[in-house]
This record gives sequence, structure tokens and C-alpha cells, in this order.
Amino acid sequence: MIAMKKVLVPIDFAEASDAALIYARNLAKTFGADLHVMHVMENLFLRPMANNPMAIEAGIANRLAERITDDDRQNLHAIAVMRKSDTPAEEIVRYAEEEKVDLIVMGTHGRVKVAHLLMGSVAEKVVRTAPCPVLTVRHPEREFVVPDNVEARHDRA
Amino acid sequence: MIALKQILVATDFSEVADAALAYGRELARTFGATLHVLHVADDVYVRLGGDAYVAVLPELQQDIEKHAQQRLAELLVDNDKNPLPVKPVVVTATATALAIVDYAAEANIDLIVVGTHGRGAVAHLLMGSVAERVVRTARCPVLTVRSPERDFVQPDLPVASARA
Repeated sequence: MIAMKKVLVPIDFAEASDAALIYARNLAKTFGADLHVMHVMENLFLRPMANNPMAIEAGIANRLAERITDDDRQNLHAIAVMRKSDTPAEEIVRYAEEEKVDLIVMGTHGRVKVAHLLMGSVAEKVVRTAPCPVLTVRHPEREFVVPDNVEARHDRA
Repeated sequence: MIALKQILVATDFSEVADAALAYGRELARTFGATLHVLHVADDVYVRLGGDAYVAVLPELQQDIEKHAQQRLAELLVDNDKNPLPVKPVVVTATATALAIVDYAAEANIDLIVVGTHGRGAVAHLLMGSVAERVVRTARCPVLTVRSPERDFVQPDLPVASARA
């Protein structure tokens, strides 16, 4: 028996995380789970920069909100979660623990580079440390989710 | 829309692999998919292949594969009323992760489910596990399952679990 009540999808606005969002949305629909769409941003206040950090934050919050469709909000109780941290993997795992998330869906950035081999990506760190199962999705090779019309907008860059 | 038709569970007969199998089974049921259960048997030729052993190796290899097939068969006893279409597969290789990813590509697998041993020892951090390699190299989505912290698949028995 599958009891999936909360699906967490951390996104970084890259193509791979759009794919992850589509999977998360469809799985949440199939199992009647709530959808938590999360973005972990850098802590801009710790960095010297020309732009106003507040404005940048607001911009990111907007982009995050745009990813969530009305349908998501109504049928999946979708919420947007913004966190500030310089260690995104840890932040994601912490949130999953606190919120008792049943499944994390994450995009991975495909083929191996040397840096990637040495350091591991955020997704790999999450796979290694998450308290729950993790579905990793690579864009866009073989996919079991077929986008339908509502979602088709998002996945064409 | 989810079109999930071929699900692959990789097993080394460990506890986490059993957890992965439970997920694979439930997802296959939910989506009406075929369940492939793959065990990668050790290749004794590569592992032990010195001249002295050559005479006994073919038998040893056969034994290992036969044993693996039996264990797979035991694993797949299923009391379901609607039995799943299940394909037990034994592949002989030394590079486990590679064998899993290759099989997935050949069999047009839509989703791979693997167990991972979770919060790791130092060796694990340095080398990465089979599961991590599969995550990194598979072309299809991969579900990694650990045992048994927080699971969205519950055991079939109505016995309440001890989870808080």
C-alpha cells in the first residue's frame, strides 16, 4: 500500500528541475499528496553586490510562484517554500525531516564532469542523506511522465 | 500523465534491496507496469581468474548464477490476487552499477528502484555506492530507497508499524 502524503520538489529553475516538477506534480496527483515546491537561495546578505538583495529575493519569489499553477494550488494544496542557505542539500534534507516529507523529487544535471565526480551534486548529497526515498530525474532522456497541455508551457525553454 | 510501463528493481538480497522491491512492487501495481527484478551476480572469472582455478571456475560460476536465480524466485513469491507481470533477471558482471544501467537501457526501463545504505561511513563518502553510481549514470529516473526511516510504501499487513 502506498501512503504518499507530501511530495517535496526542490527546484533551481534549470531545465532538469522543470522535469522534476512535472514528475512531482504527476505523482502527487496520482497518490493524492500535497506538493511542496522549494527553492533554496544563496544568502545574498553575506555577499558584496551592486544590486539590492531585497529586490533579487522578491524576483526569485515571483519566479517560484510562477512555477506553481492554479491547478496545483487547488488540487494539490501546492505551496512555495523559500529558504536561504549556502548549503542547499542540508537545507532540503532538514525541511524533509521537519515536514515529514514522503518523497523528494530532484533534477540532476546529467553526464559526468570531473568536478561533478569529485564533489557530487546537490542531488547526490540529498540522495545520500535524505530521510525518505528520493526520485532523481534527468532531463530529458527517457521519461515516464508525458507532459500534458497545462504543463507543456513550462518545459520548453 | 504518467506512463510507467517497465519498472526495474535491482537487488543484492540485502534489507534495503527488499525495501526497494516493496516500492517497485507497489508502483508496478499502481501503474500496471511490468516489474523486472535484477540481480547482478559476481563474475568469478574476473574475480578469481588465476591459472590454477580455471578448471573449477565454470562450475563455480554456474553455481553462483543458479543460486541467485533461486533466491530471486523465492523473493518473488507473491500472494497477490492479481499477480504482477514479473521478470526475474540474473546478469553476470563485475561492475554492478554499469550492469544495472545497461540492462535498463536495453529493456526500455522507465524507472529504476534501488536501495541505498543511507548515512554513510567514510568509505561510502569516498567511493560512492552502487546506488549513487546508478543515479549518476542512468538515463531514466531513479528512485533511491533507504531502509526503513520514512517510507511512503507501507507493508501490506494490517499490523500497525511502530513508527511514531
